[in-house]
Amino acid sequence: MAHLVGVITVTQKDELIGHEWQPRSYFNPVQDINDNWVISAEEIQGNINPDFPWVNDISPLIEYEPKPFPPITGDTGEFLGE
Amino acid sequence: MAGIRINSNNFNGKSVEITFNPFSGGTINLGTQTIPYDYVSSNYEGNYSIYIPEFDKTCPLQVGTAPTPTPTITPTSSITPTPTISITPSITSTPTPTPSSSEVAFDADAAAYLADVIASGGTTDATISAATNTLFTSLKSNGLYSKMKAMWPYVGATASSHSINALLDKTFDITWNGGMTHGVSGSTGNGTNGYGNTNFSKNDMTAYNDYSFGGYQNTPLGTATMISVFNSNNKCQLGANLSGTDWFARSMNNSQLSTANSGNITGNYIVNRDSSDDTAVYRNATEILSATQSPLVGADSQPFYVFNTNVSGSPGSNYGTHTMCFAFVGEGLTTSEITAFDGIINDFQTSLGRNTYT
Repeated sequence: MAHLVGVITVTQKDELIGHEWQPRSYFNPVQDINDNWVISAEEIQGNINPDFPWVNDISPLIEYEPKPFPPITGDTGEFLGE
Repeated sequence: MAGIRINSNNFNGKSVEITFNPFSGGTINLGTQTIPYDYVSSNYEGNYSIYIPEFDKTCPLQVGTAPTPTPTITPTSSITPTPTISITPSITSTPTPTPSSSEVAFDADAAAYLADVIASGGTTDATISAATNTLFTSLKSNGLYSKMKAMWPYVGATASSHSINALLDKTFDITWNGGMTHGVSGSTGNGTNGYGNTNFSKNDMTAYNDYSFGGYQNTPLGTATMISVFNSNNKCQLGANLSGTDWFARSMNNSQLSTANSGNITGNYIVNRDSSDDTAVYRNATEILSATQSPLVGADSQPFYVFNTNVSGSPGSNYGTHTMCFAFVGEGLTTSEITAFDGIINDFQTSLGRNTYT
C-alpha cells in the first residue's frame, strides 16, 4: 500500500517539530530516501493547528520511499528484528 | 413561576428520561430531556427518577421533604425560584450516579475513565460504557487491576481519548506523533511516521524482574513492533522482524526470543517475566515463547513506544500499519492470571466488536 507524504523545507520542518496538528498528536517530520523532509498525508489533511495553515496546502503528495536502514543488531550482535 | 433545575457535574449535555412523582400524588412523565433541565411548576416537590440511557443508570432525586403521614395544612410557602440541584457530588471524580437499590453499581474508576474519555472529546455509548465497566470490575474481581501499572483501552475514537491511561495517572498518557489515525476499531499506524510514546519507562516499573507488557492487535502487524523500547538497560520488545517471517520478543534481556510468524497472527499478546527469571510470550493465552533469562539491571528512563521501537530515544526505522485496540504494562502475572487477563481483554474487545478470536 502506498503511503503518501508531502515534502517540506528544512525551515518548515524546524517550525513544525514540537507542535500539535490535532490535540495530543504532534508533527513528526521524517526524511525519505532522497533526504527530503516529509510529513504524512494524515498530518497534511488533518491539521487543525491555526498556527500552521500552510500545512493544509502542501501539494503534491508523493509516495513515501523510506531510507534503507541497515539491520540494527543488539548488544550481542543478533538481529534486532525491528 | 417556581421550579427546579436538574443539573449534574458530569452528565450535563446528556439526554435523560425523567419521571416525577410529586409528594401530592400521581406520576408525571417529563419525557426525554437534556440536562441541565428546568422543570417549571409550582408543584415541583417530590421524587424524580432520572434515567441516563447512555450509562443505563437511574439517578433518584428527592426535592423537598416528604409530608408526614398526618399532613397538616400549611400556609403557602415562598418558593425559591429555580434552585440548582446536583445529581451527584462530583461527576469528574465520581461520575457514577447513585444507583437505585435494584441496580448493579457502576464502577467508580470505570466511570472516571469514561468521563475523561468524554472530556477529551471522545464518543461513548451504552455498549462502550457497559464494556468498560465490565473490564474494570473483572480486572478487580480477579486481582489484576492492582497489578496494572498503565493500560490504554483505546476508547472514544479520537487521538486524545486513545492517549488516556485508564488508570488515570496522566503521566502515562500516550503522546502521539506523526500521522496516526484513531477510530472505533482502535489506533492505526500509517507506516510512514506514526507512533505513540507511552511515557512509561523501566524506572516506572515496580521491579526489573517482575513485570508484564503487551498489546492487542486486530489487524496484521506486518514488519513492525507493537510495544517496544531498546536501550542499553532496557530491552523490551514485542513484534515481527523486518521480513515479517518471525515473531520476536525481548524481555529485559539482550537476547531475543523468536518463533515463526505464520500468517502474521492477530490477537492479544502478553510478555511476562517473573522473579525466577522465567520469561514467556503468550498469544491469545497460549504460550508461544519461553526462556530463562536474567534481567538487565540498572535504571533506564527511555519510555515504551507503540507502533515502533524506541531505539535509544528515537523511533526506529519501521513504523507500523496495524491497528491496536489495547496495550498495557503491569507487574508479573501467574499462569492463571494470564489466562484470566487474556479472557477479560478479549471479552472487552468482543463487546466492542473488535476481537480477532473467540
